[in-house]
Amino acid sequence: MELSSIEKEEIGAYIFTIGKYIETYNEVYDHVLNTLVELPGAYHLNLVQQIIEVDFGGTAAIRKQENIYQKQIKRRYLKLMGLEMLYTFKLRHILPNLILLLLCYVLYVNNTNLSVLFKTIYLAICVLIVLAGVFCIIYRYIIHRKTKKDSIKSELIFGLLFLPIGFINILFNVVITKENTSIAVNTQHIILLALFFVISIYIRAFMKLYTERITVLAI
Amino acid sequence: MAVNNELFKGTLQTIILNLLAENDRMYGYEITQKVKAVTQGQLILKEGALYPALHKLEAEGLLETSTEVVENRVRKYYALSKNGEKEVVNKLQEAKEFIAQLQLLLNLKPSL
Repeated sequence: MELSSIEKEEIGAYIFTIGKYIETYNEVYDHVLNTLVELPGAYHLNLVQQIIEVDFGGTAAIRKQENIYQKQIKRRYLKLMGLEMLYTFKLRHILPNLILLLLCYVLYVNNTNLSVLFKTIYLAICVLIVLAGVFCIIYRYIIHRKTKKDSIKSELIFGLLFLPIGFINILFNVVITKENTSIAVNTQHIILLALFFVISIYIRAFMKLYTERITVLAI
Repeated sequence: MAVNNELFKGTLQTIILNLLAENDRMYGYEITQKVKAVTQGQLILKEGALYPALHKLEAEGLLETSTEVVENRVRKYYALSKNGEKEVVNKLQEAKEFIAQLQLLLNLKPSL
């Protein structure tokens, strides 16, 4: 059957209400239109409902599958993120890590005023958090401003970005505080430098994963 | 006589991987139609089974995806990843061995 643009809009509006993510919408919409074009007779919205019910197993099945898919993708990319971080310790990538480690050591050994060091790194991490937030805003509200539905890909990026931020928050509010007398100040500084080291690796791994895999990810 | 779809559920991933090995990239609807055409309508691959299998293969890193705008809508294509190219060989071998065992178990003679 031939579908008019108004009919396509009606189909789109119906499918829009089914799933949570734009990826689900795109895949189901394309599939339904392909199926309808092959069918004989006149168009009716009931046909779309029938395709959803018979071929996809209903709207509940689509939502369930979308939920499973979102979790599968999240798990995969968290694993890839971990692997990217480990790759930085491979022989041909280890040089930046060694330089960073040396820097942390020099800062720790030579800096007489550790509170200045503490404040500087704290500030650097705060700047990082703000930059991550700005990136998310630009990504969602400028680059993808026309997307009216949530996206698995966006959620994945935001999740990967805010995962260390949550961790940093816990560290700063629970472990590295003046009120916490159970951990010596010196130990707190070591924790801070270690955090700086790990975050640097995380950022490099995220940038590599983002440019090489996430930007080409079509989910 | 139509084949019982339950029988090929276990080999669905192998079928998908093999189809993608034979075709550079395919989209969901195209896969269902290909299965229908190759089996002359004996096997109907439902979308409710196809997409979970595609998504699982993608999450396992065996498939890569890309999108293209076709007739004003976004179409998602699936293709084998490098790992997928290796895995298709293993899966096909597994399927061949399984079929051979089935033939023995059920006293079937392979058709000439």
